[in-house]
Amino acid sequence: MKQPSDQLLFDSLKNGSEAAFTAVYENNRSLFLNFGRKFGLDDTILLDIYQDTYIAFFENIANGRLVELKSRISTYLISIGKYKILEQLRKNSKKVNSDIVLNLTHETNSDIDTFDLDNEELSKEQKDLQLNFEMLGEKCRKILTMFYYKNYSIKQIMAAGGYNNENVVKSQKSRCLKTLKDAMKNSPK
Amino acid sequence: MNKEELLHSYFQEELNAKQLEVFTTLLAEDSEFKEQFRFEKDLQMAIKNKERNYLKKKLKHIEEQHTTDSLGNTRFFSPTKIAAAIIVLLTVGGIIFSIIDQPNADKLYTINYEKYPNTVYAITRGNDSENTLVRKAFIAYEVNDIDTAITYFEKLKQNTDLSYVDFYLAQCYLANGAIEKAVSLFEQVANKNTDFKMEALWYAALGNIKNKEEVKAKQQLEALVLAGTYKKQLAIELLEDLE
Repeated sequence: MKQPSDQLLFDSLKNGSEAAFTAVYENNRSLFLNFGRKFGLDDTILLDIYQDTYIAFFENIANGRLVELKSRISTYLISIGKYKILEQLRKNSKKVNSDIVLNLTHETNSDIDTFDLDNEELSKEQKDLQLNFEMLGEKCRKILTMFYYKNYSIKQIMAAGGYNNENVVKSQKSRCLKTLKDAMKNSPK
Repeated sequence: MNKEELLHSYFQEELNAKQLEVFTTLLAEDSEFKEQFRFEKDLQMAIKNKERNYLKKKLKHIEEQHTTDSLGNTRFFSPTKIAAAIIVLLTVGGIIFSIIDQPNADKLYTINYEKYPNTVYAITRGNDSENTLVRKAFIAYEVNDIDTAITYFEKLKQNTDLSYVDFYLAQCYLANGAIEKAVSLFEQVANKNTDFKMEALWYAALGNIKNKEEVKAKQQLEALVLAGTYKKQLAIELLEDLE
């Protein structure tokens, strides 16, 4: 099937294209589900895994860990998916068939070695922090998201947020952290 | 490098070996530093979780669209596939229609072409007294009096700046077989940010298929697939057929 090239889609994803976000998700959906069915997981769980996989792939583009496409997009998704499927199989039963593990870990893709793939549940304290974060002003939410989630450098934050110089960014970030910390202290336990 | 800078560099993944050593020591021995680190790390997790929830919602929304599409069976009953099925049946029965003898490009064009409906001007009885150029143009367009419609749309093009005129004029050219003129106008519409941008891309692609401009047609179909808002599925199938 002829689709827009992977490179075009990848570049569009990097530039924040919503259309590319949908297109890449849909283009790889069937392939991923067919791959996952081999491991005896039902489609509802597989779809959930595919979405987590896709989010991980997208995040690593957004946070600058994946800057250059070295394989096909589908290869990245299957590689991340293997990791996520194994995680799910381990959750389902304490003992996972060694053949399955072998199959999933065979030919691991070194391109995803640096990817952040973990998806831990939030602790109570982290949930409180999230709540207080939501109540910060937009400026603070933006700068903290750029720094802690998108891995933007101070220079990038300066450009994206329209700040005059790097020191302003740093002091704004410190102020936002302090506001959040104070809010945490005052929030009901 | 002070403690704040150390933490900053940690989150920017910029610590060198020596700084990492200092960082680890502080984490083990300085409770205030450890508390600040824990706070920032928790914040990172909280933001990550929030952003992921947002992305997950977006994907669920796409999935809902996907389910609706599947239920509608748009892919299964697409004109291309129905036409392909008809062709197979006719061939098997030994009945050869002229469409089969047409070159592939003409066939694809014939199967996929359908004049775009009038979605702009409501021609109702209540409007009978009104005899504007727009009304005349769309009446002619609707009754397939294309030559008359062209005359009116060309006048509208000269005298007004209505955003839809170029699109419907191009429709008239296409319906009359003036493919090159139509394509050129559709491409102009597609390059502007008008309501008919995506529709114009689709018809430009069809015109280019008819004119054997396969490369241009493919680019336009790919753009439609990428945008995903108009005839995406048909564009994917046409791209397959062009291969």
